[in-house]
Amino acid sequence: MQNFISLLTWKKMFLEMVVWLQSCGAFNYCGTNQWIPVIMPIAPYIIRTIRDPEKPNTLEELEVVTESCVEVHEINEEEYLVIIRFTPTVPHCSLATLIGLCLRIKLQRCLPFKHKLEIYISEGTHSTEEDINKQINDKERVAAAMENPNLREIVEQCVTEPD
Amino acid sequence: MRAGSADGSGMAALTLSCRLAAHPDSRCWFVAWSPSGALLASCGGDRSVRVWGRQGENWVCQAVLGEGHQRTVRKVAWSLCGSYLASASFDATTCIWKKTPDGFECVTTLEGHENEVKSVAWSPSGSLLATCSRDKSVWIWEVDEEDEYECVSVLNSHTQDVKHVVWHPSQEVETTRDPSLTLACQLLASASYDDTVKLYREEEDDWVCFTTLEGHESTVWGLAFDGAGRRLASCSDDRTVRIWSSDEQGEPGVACSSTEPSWKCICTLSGYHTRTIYDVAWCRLTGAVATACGDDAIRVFEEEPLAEPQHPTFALTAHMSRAHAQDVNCVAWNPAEPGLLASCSDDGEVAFWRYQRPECC
Repeated sequence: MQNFISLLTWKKMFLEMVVWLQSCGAFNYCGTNQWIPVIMPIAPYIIRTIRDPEKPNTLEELEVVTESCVEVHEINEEEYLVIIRFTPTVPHCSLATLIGLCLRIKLQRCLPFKHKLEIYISEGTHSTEEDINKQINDKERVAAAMENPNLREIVEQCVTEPD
Repeated sequence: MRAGSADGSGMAALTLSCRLAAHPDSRCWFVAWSPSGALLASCGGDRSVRVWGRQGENWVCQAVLGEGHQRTVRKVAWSLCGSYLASASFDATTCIWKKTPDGFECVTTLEGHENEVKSVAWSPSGSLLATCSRDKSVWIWEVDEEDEYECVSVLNSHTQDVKHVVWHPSQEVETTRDPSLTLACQLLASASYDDTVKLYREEEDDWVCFTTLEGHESTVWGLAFDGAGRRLASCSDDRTVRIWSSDEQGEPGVACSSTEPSWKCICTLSGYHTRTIYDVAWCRLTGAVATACGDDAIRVFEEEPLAEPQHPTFALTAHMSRAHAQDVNCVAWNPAEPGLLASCSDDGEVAFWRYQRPECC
């Protein structure tokens, strides 16, 4: 993560991210496990609580995202693989990385079942999406990013639920 | 807990002997045995290094080195003499700790990397230290008798984050074509987010990268030389382990300089691991290869005895599927006691295992 973004841009990102995250409702049902239909809405529900501390907007108002998808696969009787894919319409590489980071942190903390998590961003443009996906799925990079105080503060603001 | 081989053949087993909450409420990133095998150092997200010693059948904490780093400690390494411990941290520094009668004391802090230090390793000669970082570089440091450290080389060969460095076990690197032409130098290997492994040696007073091993399809996380230093194992986010060899026998018609051993991939272990493989360890005493995987499992492989040296095959001899509650980050064979394996995990725990070799090997 790079620290070259101005405060104004960060605020715009918050807005866009919250709107996109509120839209994360579409999902695919994979497999035959009877518990998956119960578990599956949990990930989008948790993601929906990620917010902008100042003012939330709806997807309809800003039309940020074209599509998103959450898959849940059973690994064994007590663990699930959760795969999240989304396509932000704003082709902003830093925004996408930030979204990926917030998603990972939020789900890691809040998913009430044992899981492995994969997050994929598809920007619809060309080369950067593979680079972003590799970064946000590298747990060492994510851990180090979360030790950066500035970045951590932003992520914490986005993932903390209001009282 | 016992885990046998997948098809029931052989008598291999991996049994749990002890489990420790080594870095509570945090993750344990790495464990390293002291050269005598009596102590185990662990490090983690709680920014500390802990040293564990045996007490009967149990392991107890003998020292906590908590004041050295401001961020996660990613790896630790013991010097050859066992008197020093180096710790590599996300705070961009490497601390050198000296063992004293009271515990450990930080004697120096190596600075210079631009961001997180991912690995540290002492050379077999004892006079060099290697570090690597997300800043894409590998640094080589020389240490003198007065414990003074000086950076003698900064190698910028990788194009991305460098995850791990490991020294070749010998002080000299031999060629197989002409054993009389022995390169009296040390060899270093590095693994990177750029999907490659690079090898370095000293040429005319300068360190150079002399070869790049390509083949992995994603980040290479770990490396391990076999006891003789003829082979190198690498493990990757692509869920495979690759075995590379420097032997050149059986290569008719290939013209190479007799002082230039070339490394190539002679075996790929695929289809066994279901997630990223974070570490690989090659036992110097038994030849067994252990892996630490993001699917929470530990696996052990042994080379099949009848295979040709240039086309080896490895059989899976043990698979402990829930070795830890979360990703296994590191595995390490005890250098003195055959079959004793330590592991650590994102769940903050360190575990000790006994590996019983299959009777057929």
